[in-house]
Amino acid sequence: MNDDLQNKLMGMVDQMPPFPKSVHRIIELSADMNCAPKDLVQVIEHDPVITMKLLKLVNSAFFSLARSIASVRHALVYLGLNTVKNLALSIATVDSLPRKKMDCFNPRDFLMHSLTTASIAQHIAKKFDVEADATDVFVAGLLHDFGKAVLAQFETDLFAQSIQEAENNQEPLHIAELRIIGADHAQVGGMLADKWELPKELADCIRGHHQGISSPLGDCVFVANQVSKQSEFGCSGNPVVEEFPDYIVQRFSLNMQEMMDQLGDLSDEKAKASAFINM
Amino acid sequence: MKIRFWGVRGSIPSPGPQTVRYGGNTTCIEVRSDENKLIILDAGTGIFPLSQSLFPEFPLQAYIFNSHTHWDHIQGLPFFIPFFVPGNQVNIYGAADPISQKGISEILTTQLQYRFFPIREVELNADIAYESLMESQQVNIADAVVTPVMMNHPVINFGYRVDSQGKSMFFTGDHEPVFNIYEPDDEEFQEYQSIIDEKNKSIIDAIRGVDVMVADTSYTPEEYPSKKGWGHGTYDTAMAMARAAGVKKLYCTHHEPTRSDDALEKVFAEALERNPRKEGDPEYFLAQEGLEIEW
Repeated sequence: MNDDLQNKLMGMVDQMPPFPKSVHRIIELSADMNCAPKDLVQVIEHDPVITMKLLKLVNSAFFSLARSIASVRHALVYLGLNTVKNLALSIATVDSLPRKKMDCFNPRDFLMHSLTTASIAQHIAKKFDVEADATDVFVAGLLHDFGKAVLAQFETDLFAQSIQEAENNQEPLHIAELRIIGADHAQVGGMLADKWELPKELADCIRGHHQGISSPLGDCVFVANQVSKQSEFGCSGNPVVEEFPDYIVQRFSLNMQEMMDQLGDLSDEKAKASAFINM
Repeated sequence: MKIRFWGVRGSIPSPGPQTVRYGGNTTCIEVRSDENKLIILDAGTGIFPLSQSLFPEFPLQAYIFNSHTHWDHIQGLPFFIPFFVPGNQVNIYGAADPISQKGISEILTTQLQYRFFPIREVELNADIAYESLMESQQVNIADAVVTPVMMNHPVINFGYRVDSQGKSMFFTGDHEPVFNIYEPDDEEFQEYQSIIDEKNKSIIDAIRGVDVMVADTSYTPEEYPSKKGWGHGTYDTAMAMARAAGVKKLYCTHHEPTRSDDALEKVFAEALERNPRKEGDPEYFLAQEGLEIEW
């Protein structure tokens, strides 16, 4: 990634608006002193932009905690409900840029892909007893494509072109991004996660999700990402469902089809994500 | 080590005949190391009478640790007389605020805005230094070490542990034990509970074995449910924490402003009945304005 692009993204991403539905809900819930904390948490942890910004804030050097915070729930226990509520509120009400309309990138479809990847990754981690905290896996799934939301906002034309070419060539989106933008969404998301001092495992997982580097967190997200695409839950702009590499087959002792069979009916995961998006 | 309570009341100063025995000033605790270093925990209204006792020590070096920036813990700060006298040096420590992204140096600037106070910050004659602390970041003051511990309150709240020459004390600041936001039959309950357990363990580990603990005991267990989430503990939660950490003496503080001396003694006696001391348990006391403990 060249320095110009890097600087541009770093500078602008602070102003990135969260998803409008979440903003509305957070403002509504925060106005009620007696709102159930779990309702507020649900909104925060289902919005990739708010989650990412919250983790950025709580892990920042300015506000150094002795441990790094990998999930919204950790932030809640360590910083307290009110602090997280007010952080979310300040994120939700930040002066937002006008959202650009893109024919090829629909925020709802993107959110559906991110949410189902998150919940399927969490499901896989539990089902296969993977050595990773289930909450961290959810966050990693939710944020794995964060770079796409950034590119859609700040490199709109080139990103649209990447999606179009990937579709025409039936090639993975990140390959088209590399050719057209000079950086792919995984690199962009990973760079931001690094700069914002997010937990290393999370940053590595975001950066590495197309690189074939195995980790307990990354492997759950890789599989969930493919399962979500195969199940056609939402759309991530990537037309290709990737084969399981050897290390994935080894960890789960299953290939893609066997994994789909094992996981069975996932319509519940889709329904939960829909319920949230349509809230 | 020596401790003297200058303010033990929570929320708002509560003078009057009903509170004259335990005192009406808000939180301020003077801690002296064996080398007589002056460490002040919180600057509630109790810091004003404390500051009047300090004249013989001018030029003075004072170290003020702020648990959090709610009014009852900073209200006396503009009246800390050593600020006005050249030659004094005051170091102020506390947490940064993640919401406003501002450090602890903001306290006095905010309090001394001309509209609210006649003296401006630039007119203070003492040498004043600020340091925003990170969790667990130790501050060495001659023979004493002060360690901030992240507690649970609506704003960031540090408890402070002071160690000096083998003696130790811990002050919680305002603290409510973290509660589970999920119901026991929610699928998230267990996992959230395990994060809470880990957090509680880190607090207990930080306090372990102190000689004296001063803890926020605003409420009785009966009062607590309607105040849940306000950021304060009960007599019973503080006693449980003191037992778990192997504390020797627990002093209950942050007395409810509406609680008369008689009512305070009554609810404390009831708490003692609910928590009978067993072998090795801490001794339990009520913090009282003017009370001095030396060991």
